[in-house]
Amino acid sequence: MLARSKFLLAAFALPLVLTRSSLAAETHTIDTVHSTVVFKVRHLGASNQYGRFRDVSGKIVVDEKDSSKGSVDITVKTESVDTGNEKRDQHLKSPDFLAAKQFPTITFKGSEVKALADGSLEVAGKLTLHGVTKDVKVKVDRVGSGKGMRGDSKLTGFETKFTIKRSEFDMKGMIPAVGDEVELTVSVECETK
Amino acid sequence: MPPEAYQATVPAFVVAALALALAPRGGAPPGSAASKRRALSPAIATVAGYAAGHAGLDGWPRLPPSQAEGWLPWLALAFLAAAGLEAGILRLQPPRWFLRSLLGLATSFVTLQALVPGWASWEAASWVVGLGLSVTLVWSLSEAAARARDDPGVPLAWMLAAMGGSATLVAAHSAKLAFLAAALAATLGAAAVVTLFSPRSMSPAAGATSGVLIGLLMNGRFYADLSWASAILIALALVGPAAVWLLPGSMRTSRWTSVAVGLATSGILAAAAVALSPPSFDE
Repeated sequence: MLARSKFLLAAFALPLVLTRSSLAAETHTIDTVHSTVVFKVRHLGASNQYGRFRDVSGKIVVDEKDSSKGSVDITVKTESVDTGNEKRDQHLKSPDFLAAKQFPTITFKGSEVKALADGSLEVAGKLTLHGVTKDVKVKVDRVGSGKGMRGDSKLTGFETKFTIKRSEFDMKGMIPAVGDEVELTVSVECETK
Repeated sequence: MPPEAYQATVPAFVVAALALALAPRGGAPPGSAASKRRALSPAIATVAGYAAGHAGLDGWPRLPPSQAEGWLPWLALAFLAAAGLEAGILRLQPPRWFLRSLLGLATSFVTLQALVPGWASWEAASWVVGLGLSVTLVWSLSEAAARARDDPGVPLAWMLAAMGGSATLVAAHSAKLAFLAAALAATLGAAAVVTLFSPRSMSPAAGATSGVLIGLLMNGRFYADLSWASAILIALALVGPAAVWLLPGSMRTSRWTSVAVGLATSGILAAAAVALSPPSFDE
């Protein structure tokens, strides 16, 4: 009877142990198709203009026990900028703004990923835009989790919103006609392992 | 006009005009220090004017600059140093050609260096050498065409080329490069005004003018959407004053015929470049 009880206890406890250990170090690989970076910028002081980058890739590693073991490595292709107007996109890719040929990627490399009590993450890292690197600290929300379409993979969504001054990244074209402050929303869906 | 246009052109015009107006007056004995400073004043004015316009628009670029066009004020200073060397110690043609080739290659290399890692070595070498030598060639032709002339036709012809460059660059989706070309045009406009009242040869300024304008065209071609046809026509517009060499000898002696032919050639080439660049901004 005692042996049976021990077996049952072990059988129930095992998934809990596994879940705990998988929470301790999870690797989230960004699914480019279901991820985007949306930006918002003031135009002529009158309205907000929105655009997005279609090509976002990278990995997020979360170790709930040791934040220094966590990491974020996100790459955004500047050529993938999309505002719904081809000529405006060409202008954004030109030396006036992104200089996409000279700086083909925007990168974020986070070296410290702290899991907060409310389930969100605090990520500190370096944002490189337009050839200039700056320290950035952001709070990242876990949007939710689910299963892949074939049911054999675990999906996790993350989202964060923060504001930068583009002039600090040496991108000074057309300020103030096109606002200096750019609000970025990074929304990614990841396959979690 | 957008405020950036004034930020680029007004300092360029004022600084270039002052640099020329404050140069020693004519009549100093040939070979004297005053005469040499006066001869070099167009190069000083062109470089100072463009640098002021560039700084007015975008601030003075750090070294190394983050973007390719940030090299242009630094290159302009190098072209000024070359003009000084040519006026001082480099009297023979071979060392002049060597120096000009070196600066031409430096212009194309610093402009294209962001793209070089993505090219095969033969491709990178072809672009850098080909475009570098084109700077050298345009510099030498425009310098030779300006050498024996002290009329405002030369700076006006170069100004038309820079204005055409500005118009084609704005059509190539880069207002920034267009404003920088406008700064060069304003500089040359100031030179034309001052030269009208105080004649002097613009030949020492040929290097800085060619290097900056072709540098801007390279930026427009490789980092924006400038077509090869427009870029080549603008570069040719810079050598418009050399069209006078095609005239019969008797016509070349007339000062105003030379001015008219140079202006017409540069103007037509610049206009053709603009016509080939459809307007692009609709935001």
